[in-house]
Amino acid sequence: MRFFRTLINAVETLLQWLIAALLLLLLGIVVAMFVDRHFITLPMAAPDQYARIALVWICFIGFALAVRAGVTIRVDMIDSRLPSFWRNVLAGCFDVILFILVAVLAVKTWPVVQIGIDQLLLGTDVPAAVPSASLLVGCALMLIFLAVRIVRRVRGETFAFHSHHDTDPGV
Amino acid sequence: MLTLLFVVFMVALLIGFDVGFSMILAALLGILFKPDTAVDLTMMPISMLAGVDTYALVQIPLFILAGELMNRGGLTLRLIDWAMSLIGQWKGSLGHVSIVTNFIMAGVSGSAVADAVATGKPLIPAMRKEGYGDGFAGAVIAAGALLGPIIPPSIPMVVYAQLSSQSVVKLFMAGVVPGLLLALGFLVICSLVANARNFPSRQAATSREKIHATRRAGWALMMPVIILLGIRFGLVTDTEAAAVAALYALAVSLFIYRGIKLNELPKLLFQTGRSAAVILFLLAAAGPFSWLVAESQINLRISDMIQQYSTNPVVVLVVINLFLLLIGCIIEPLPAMIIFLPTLIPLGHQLGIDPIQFGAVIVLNLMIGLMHPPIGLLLFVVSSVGRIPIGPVMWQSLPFLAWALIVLALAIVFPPITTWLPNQIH
Repeated sequence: MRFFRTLINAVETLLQWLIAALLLLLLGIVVAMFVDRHFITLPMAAPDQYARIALVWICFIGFALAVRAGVTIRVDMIDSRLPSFWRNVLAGCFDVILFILVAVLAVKTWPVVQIGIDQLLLGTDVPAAVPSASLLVGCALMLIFLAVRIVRRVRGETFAFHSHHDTDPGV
Repeated sequence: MLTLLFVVFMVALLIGFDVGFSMILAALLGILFKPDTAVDLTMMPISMLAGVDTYALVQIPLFILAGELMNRGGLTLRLIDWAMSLIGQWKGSLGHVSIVTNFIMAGVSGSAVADAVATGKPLIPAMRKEGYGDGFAGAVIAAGALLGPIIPPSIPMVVYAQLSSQSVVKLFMAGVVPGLLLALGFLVICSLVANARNFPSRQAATSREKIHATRRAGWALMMPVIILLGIRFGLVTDTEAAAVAALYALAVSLFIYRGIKLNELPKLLFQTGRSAAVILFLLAAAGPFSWLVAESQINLRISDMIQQYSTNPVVVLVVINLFLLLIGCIIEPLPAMIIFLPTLIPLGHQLGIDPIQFGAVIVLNLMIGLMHPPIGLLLFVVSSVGRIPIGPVMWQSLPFLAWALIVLALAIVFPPITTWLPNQIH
């Protein structure tokens, strides 16, 4: 179990670095587009497509990590008023429902990725499966994170969601 | 059946299930239980990917990054010092400083929560020390932070533009005049309260001190100027403005102000990416949910219902705004936008309401929700940052809230408040 926990933590750290790198890449691409338009012509084709790829990967991998940290956006008007026992019961039920939903989504994303293997993104040599795969990978990660959380709950560990005030919802 | 699905969705939402997955759950059930059309569930991932795979959305993580860098890199503190040197001699000047600092920061970050944290940390303790009272100290920070998503750049405006296929730049410009009106009104409220309660004033800074503070804050002051003028005069696109702002803030934070060390950068980038992902996922989840809304024709039913009452655009806007203010009592602004805009945008279009005015009014309305009980996010944030009880903050925020509602009413009744500046852009 300790090995498994260490492995999960290592994966999480790796993903955090991936998100940081993707964000830097996104920044680099957009700055390059600005430089290309005003100053020097850079040898790049369809940079916006690459920016979009980075964006969807940030979205789905980042969201999987948000699920892991329990900092997704929720309306906690009712559950914040519940006793802690019922909050934990509710949080456990949510994890199970989320697991089923994500599993369905993962299964249904697979054909989309397969179709994308034979198509290229406009102006690039990148298969359309690359952006689609972000959702599949994000779902796979969420399944792992949720499974771990459900197992830990079954073993008697209690941890409810963070308050929605702990995260920056971008407003 | 579809009514039942919406009930399921609302129940899931209200009992605290993740907002994005509440929408996905509703769409999934909608597809499974809709008897007359056979739709494959593959539609869900396709529409989720389409919802987020858009170049215009690239600016969301970049503007969040610019704001984070500004706050952690020491730019915000220098802006506070600068504002203090200029207006520190006013009675109750810390309140004015909060509003002015937030006003300038609003020109970069677009995030009310980030601004409230950044200005609340140094200013709430200072205001308490000078006897402003817990409630007013929190309320003035919350009011100032409200300017963040209204004055460009604004993440909610980008989301609205994405959902309504409108120009981001025009929507940005639509927020300028309401933002100015809000800021001016908030300054007046600060003065009135300061005089009524006899808040202390500070010694006026000398010209030398003013020049020194301006030089220290110069790099920070340049940021909103670069962004706004760059967008206004077409030197940068809205997305490029976000990248330029982030790069500028990065360079200033790392090499000039040295507020951030290089080894702190990966964590900051990751946290920014995760915050952006939470917003972007809502847009992804809105894809299948919008399908459900369109398929159920609930927007047409609501539209018919409202039009039976009145077809006067102003009256309809008032009704929509009252509805959204109520919604703002239970749902936060971004989820509320994503849930209800697919229904409301066609209604506005049908009645001939200018889509830019419609967008600006809706964003303004939902941002006001950040300040009103019971879930006014900014009230909780300032209460948490300043370690002050929320009750007095809610009470003291009422004058600011009242002014914000007046500005909202003006924006509804006088469309040029939101449409004049965007119409200057060709």
